[in-house]
Amino acid sequence: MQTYTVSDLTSKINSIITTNPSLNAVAVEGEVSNFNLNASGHLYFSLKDENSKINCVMFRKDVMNIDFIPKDGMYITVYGRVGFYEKTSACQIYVTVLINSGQGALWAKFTELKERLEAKGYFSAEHKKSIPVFPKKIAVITSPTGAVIHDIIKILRRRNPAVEMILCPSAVQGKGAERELANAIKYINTHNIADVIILARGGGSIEELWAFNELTLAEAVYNSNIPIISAVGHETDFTISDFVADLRAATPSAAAEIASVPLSDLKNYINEKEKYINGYVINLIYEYRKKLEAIKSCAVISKTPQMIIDRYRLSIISLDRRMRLSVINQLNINKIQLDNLKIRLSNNEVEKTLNKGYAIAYKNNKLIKNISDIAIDDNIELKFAHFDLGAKVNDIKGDNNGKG
Amino acid sequence: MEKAKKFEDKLKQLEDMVITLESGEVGLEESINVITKASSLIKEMEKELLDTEDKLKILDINNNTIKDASKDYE
Repeated sequence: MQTYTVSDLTSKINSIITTNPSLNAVAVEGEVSNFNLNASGHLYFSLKDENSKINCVMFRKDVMNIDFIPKDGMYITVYGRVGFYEKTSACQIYVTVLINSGQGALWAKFTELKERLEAKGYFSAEHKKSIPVFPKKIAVITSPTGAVIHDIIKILRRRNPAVEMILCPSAVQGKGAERELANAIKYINTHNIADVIILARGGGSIEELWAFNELTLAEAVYNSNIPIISAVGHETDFTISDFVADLRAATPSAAAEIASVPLSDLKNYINEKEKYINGYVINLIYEYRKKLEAIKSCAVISKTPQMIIDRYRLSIISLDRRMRLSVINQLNINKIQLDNLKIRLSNNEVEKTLNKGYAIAYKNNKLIKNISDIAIDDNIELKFAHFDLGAKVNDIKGDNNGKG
Repeated sequence: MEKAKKFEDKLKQLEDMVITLESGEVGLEESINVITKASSLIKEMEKELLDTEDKLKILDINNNTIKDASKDYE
């Protein structure tokens, strides 16, 4: 057996590799890790899968051709050749072309799931619940660290301090994150923790946002009785949970604004209504008072009681007068009747006396009663019962007061 | 969901009452009815808005607890 020097061995390995055609042009796909953009402009990173990893380098002249920056966790495909660096026995890929293939594969997965769920009605507008205008309790499911939760809290505090915020910390990427997120939604529903849920996460690659494209989470969002506002990634990022949710907000900050009507707006709105009602009451009173005055001053109504009274008074006066007149009349009539009776009575007496043979003496149709009524040689009439006599006075007997 | 009527239900009620009054077709007794109800509704809602104590809590699903967290996020 040959004994190599180290350099000989590494040199041999190198030549085996470089002369192997299949290693001279390879395409390799894997997950990026240990990514490093060197000051020189060269890219250094590793590609790995579950079992293995290999170092890669991409020189500046080739780096200029790619249109994105690879990041750890991304799935990419590289084209290049396998090289062997003798000095350190390091095997690496010299990359000339770098493609974001992972995105392609995941994108296909995303599209397939989206179409499937859409067909099942997971995105239908009818299923979406309206977001409460003034939720008293807002649950926020997101990472407990990072800008997202701080932004949301800041905005909610500012806009509506009367609201209670319940933070529900969860992983927002990586394996199992979708289950943690789904469990949070279910728990909040079961225990009726809040009036609305904000599901939030900051921007990231499709891989980083992948939990929000998983079916487990989509189902939890769909089955939630509490309305969910989904705010995942940047404005241009769309995930399955965004489509299933009752409302999608472009950013977590926007979600906080949607979930909280500014306290001042609510107060203003109520004040407006209050002012309207007060004005209405004042107007109502004014209107009815006017009506009342109009009625009072209306001639008919205002005079009527007085008129009636006056009318009655006149009636009473008139009746009174008539009554008096009639009484007077009656009295007069009675008086006349009485006089008549008296006359008849006295006539009767006179007749009786005349029938006895007495006569009534008259001078010039005047009854002679006193001596002063008569003088000697006066012509007098004597009225007997059935005849009259004319006579002359011859003699007068008696004294001056007429008594004989 | 809650025993008390939700805030937006009250808002809607108030809006409806104002619309009723605006219609101008209510008699005196009805107006008084509506106005009385609206006034008490307004008082209720203003009271709810006054409750502005800062409330931030953290939910721990695994341990079934909710804790106050106002200090953690100042």
